[in-house]
Amino acid sequence: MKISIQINASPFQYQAADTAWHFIQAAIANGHKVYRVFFYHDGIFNAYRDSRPPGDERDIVKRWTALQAEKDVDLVVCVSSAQRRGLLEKTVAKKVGGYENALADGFRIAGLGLLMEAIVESDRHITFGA
Amino acid sequence: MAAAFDQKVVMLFEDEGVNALVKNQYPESMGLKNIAPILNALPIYDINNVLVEKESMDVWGLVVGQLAIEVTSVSRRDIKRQINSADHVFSF
Amino acid sequence: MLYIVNKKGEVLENCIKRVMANDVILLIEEAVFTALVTKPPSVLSELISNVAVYALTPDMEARGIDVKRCYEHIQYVDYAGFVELVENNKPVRSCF
Repeated sequence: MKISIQINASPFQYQAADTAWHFIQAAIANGHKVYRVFFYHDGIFNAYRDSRPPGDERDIVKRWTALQAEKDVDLVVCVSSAQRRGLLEKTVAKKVGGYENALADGFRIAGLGLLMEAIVESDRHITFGA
Repeated sequence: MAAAFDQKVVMLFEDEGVNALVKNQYPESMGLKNIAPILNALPIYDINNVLVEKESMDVWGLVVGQLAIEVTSVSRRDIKRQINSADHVFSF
Repeated sequence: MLYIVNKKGEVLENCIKRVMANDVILLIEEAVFTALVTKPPSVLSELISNVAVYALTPDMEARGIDVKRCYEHIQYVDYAGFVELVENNKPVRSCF
């Protein structure tokens, strides 16, 4: 089964990102393909490089980075959700004088077209919301 | 977006979502976004099938004439039949 | 059809209003509390005709919910089971 995932909620107030991450681990372990994870609305807060949780809390940003590195899962951050929240792509930040290094490793910023493409390509699409 | 990908799209408003469609909203008075232009533009994107759940309309005391765009009022049961035949369901 | 419900209250009630025979409900996150026997009874106290209701066990463990305190008809899955439910049901609707 090809599965695409959408995460709408910030990882610091809601469990959505954790549920999604555990679901993805189980899906991959059971031989399924996770085609894409699309971070939408406040879900983009899963992609901030400079997130520094306290030592006794899980580091969700690092978990996503590791997921992409180890399992080659495509992590896409929605450009319009990101820009509104001050998460800028490097070249855009350079142009407008914003912070260039905001995006954590393993993520890329792109438009809703990639969400649609993921859905069209997938057998199942699951949204994890607030 | 889905229409741009040649997908058949049905938009459904249910529960308190039906209130999002009422006429005479003035969100600009609070600096909020007005979705009326987006709703009016749906046919341009080939979204001509906007459904409202009849039971939800009844709860909120609404009739289709009070809504800002043309919709079809469908019973919960018939909506379910349509959803069951869908490949994907997007929730907002 | 699979309903994935992550909240109690109105979100779960709106889902229950709409389920039909052969649908499946999966309770995750905070919604697992509704599997517990309560007074007055929760909206899940009675079996919904031909609708299987599952609760995600890691979310129950995280919240210290013992299956002995839950309604008898509730069934349980872990994340592997969650994946199977997604595989065996279509479409999938998230309620949040």
